[in-house]
Amino acid sequence: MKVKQVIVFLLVLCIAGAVFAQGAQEEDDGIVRIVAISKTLDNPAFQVGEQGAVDRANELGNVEVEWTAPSAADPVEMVEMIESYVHRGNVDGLLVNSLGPAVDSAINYAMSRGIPVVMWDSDAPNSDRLTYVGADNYEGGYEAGKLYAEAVEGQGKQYVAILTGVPGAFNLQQRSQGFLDALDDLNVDYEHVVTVAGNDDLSESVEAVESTLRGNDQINGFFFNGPWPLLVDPSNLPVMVERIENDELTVVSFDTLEDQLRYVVDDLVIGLVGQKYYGWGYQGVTVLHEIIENDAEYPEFVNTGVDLVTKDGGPGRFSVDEFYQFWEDFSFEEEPILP
Amino acid sequence: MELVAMNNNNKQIKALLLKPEVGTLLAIVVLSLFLTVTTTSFLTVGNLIFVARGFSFIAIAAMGVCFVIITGGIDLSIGSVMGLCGVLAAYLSGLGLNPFLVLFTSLGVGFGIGLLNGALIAKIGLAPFIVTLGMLSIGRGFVYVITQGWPLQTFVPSLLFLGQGFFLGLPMPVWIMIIILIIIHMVLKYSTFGWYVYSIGGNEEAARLSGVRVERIKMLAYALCGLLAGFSGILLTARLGVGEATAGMQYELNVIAAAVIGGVSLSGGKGSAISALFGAALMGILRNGLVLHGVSAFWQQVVIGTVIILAVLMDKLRIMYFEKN
Repeated sequence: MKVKQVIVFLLVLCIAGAVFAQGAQEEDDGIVRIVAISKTLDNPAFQVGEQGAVDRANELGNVEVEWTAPSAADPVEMVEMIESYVHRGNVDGLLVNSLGPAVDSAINYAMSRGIPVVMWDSDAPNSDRLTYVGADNYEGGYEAGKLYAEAVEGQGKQYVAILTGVPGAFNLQQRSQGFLDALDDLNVDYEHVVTVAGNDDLSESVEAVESTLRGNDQINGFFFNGPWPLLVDPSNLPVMVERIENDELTVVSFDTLEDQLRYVVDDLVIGLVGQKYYGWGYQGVTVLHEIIENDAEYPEFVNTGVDLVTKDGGPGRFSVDEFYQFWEDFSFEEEPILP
Repeated sequence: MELVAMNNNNKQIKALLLKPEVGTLLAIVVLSLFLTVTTTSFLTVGNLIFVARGFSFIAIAAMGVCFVIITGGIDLSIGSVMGLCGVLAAYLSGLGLNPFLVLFTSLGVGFGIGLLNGALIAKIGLAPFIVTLGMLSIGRGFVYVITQGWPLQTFVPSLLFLGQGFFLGLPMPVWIMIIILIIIHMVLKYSTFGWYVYSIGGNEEAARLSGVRVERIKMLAYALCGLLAGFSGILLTARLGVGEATAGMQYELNVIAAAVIGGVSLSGGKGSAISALFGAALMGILRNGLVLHGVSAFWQQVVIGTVIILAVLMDKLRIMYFEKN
C-alpha cells in the first residue's frame, strides 16, 4: 500500500510541477540577459574578458551577463551547454568562444530558435553566427613576424622553430602562417625547421621547447604561437635561457599575459603580441547588445586589434611597464565599437 | 491471510529495492522532480530529448564497459577508441567509400582494439589497467596521425543521419541506445556467455575449474567493449558532423563513472546494462540541471563529483540496511 501512495504522491508532484512551470513563464522585465560561454575557466585572459563584459554591462545598465564554461575543453560539453541555455529560456543572446567546428550545429540551433549568437576569441566561420569579435590571428602573427624581422636584421640566416598548442587549432595555425608570411614579405633569409606541439599544457610545452633546442643546435629563432612556456619561471627553461644569453637565439611570443612580461623585462623575449582580452568581453557585450536592442548589423568580423608589448614601447606599442600597470589594476580600456 | 500477503508483498519490495538499478532510478526521479518544480524548462519535450541524446553516447559506451567490469577488469582505452573510430569513419567517408564499408571498417577497428586488449590481458596475463592505459595512448596517437590535428568535416550523409536524425520524434542515438540496451540485457541475462561473464567476475578460479573457457570469454568481453565504444564514437562524430582530434578525450572516466554510479561493481560479478544506462542518465540530467539553474561553472564540477560519491555511498548504505534487516 505504501508504495502505491508514494507513487501517487510523486505523480501529483510531477503534475503540480509541470503546471507551476507553465504558470511561471518569465515576464519581460526590460533586462537583456547575455550568457557568455568561454572555452575554459582557468585562463587569466578569459578572466580579463569577463571583467570587460561585466564593465560594459554596468555601463549599459540594463544588461546582465552570466559567464560560464564547460568543465573540460570538450566541444561535446559545449554543445550540450548551448542547447541547455536555449531550452532554459530567459536568454537574450549568446557570446560563444568556440571549441571547434563541432560546436557549429549547436550555434545554428540557437540561431534557429531566435537567440542571436556572437563569437569571440575563436570564431565559427561556417556556422550561422552573426559576427565574430576578436583579433585577426593572422594579423597578430604577422605583427610578431615584423618584431622578429626587426630584431634579427643583419644577423644572417635564421633557422626558425614554432611552438604551437593542440595541433590543428585554426587560430594557432593562422598565427604561424602570419608569422612566416611576414618573414617572407620582409625578405628575412630563413628556414622553418619544425613546428612542435605542447598541447596547451605548460609542462609539455616547456619540454617541447627544451628538447627541440637540445636536439638541434642550429635553431636560432623560436616563435611561440601561444603563451605556454613563458607562464612558468625561466629556471624551467635552462637551454633556452642559455642560448638567448649567448645571443644564439631570438624568441617572440604570442599573448601578453602578466606572467609573460618578466621575460620581456629580463631581455629574454624581444616582444609580445596579444589579443585585446578585455575587448572580447567589452566589445562582445557592446555588439550583442546593439543587435538585440537595436537590430544593428555588423560585418562578419569585428576587429578588436592586437596589443604589442616591447621593453621600451614606442609608437603603436606598449612598454612593459605600462602593460604591468594594466594588469595591476585591470585598467584595460576600450571604446565601444558601434555599428 | 492478509498478514501473509503483506509479508510476501514486503519481500517482493525488498527484493526490488535491493537491485542497484532501483537506487539510481530513485535518484533520477528525485532529481527530475526537483528540477521540474524549480525550473520552468526542465520538463519540456525539447529539453528532455536533447538531454537524452546528450547522455546516449556515454550510455552506449557504458553498457559496453559493463562486460569488462563485470568480469573484474577495467578498460581505460574507451575514450581513445571512441575518438579513433569516429575520426576513422570521417576519414573513410572523405575517401568516398560506401557507408556500410565505412561503418563496418570503423566498428571492426574498435572490436579489434578490444580484442587485442583482451588477448594481452587474458592470454598473457598483463594487468588490465596498464594494457588499456597503453592502448589509450596508442589510440589517441592514431587519431592525431589520421587527422594531423585538422578537423575532418566530410561524413557520409546516411551516417550523419545516425547521429543527427530523428525517428518518430526521438533522436537516432536514443533509439540506438534503447536497441543496444535490449540486446545487451538479453545477452547478459539469458545467454550462456552472459552467465560466464558473471561467473568469472564472481570467482575466476571457480569458473575456470567448472569448465568455463575464461580466456575466450574475457577476450570477447573486451572486444565487445571496444565495439560499443567505437560505435558510440562514430555516433558522436556523426552527431557533431566533424571528426576532431580531441573527440572522446577523457571520456573513459565519464563512461566508467556512469557504469559504477548505476551499480556495476568495480570488484566484478555485479551489474547490468540498465544500471549503466541509468548512471549515464543521472549524470546527463544533473549536467542539464546545473545549467538550467545557472550554477557557476566553478561549482558545477564540485557538484558533479559530490553526486558521484553520494550515489555510490547511498548504494552502499542501502545494501547494508537491507542486509541487516
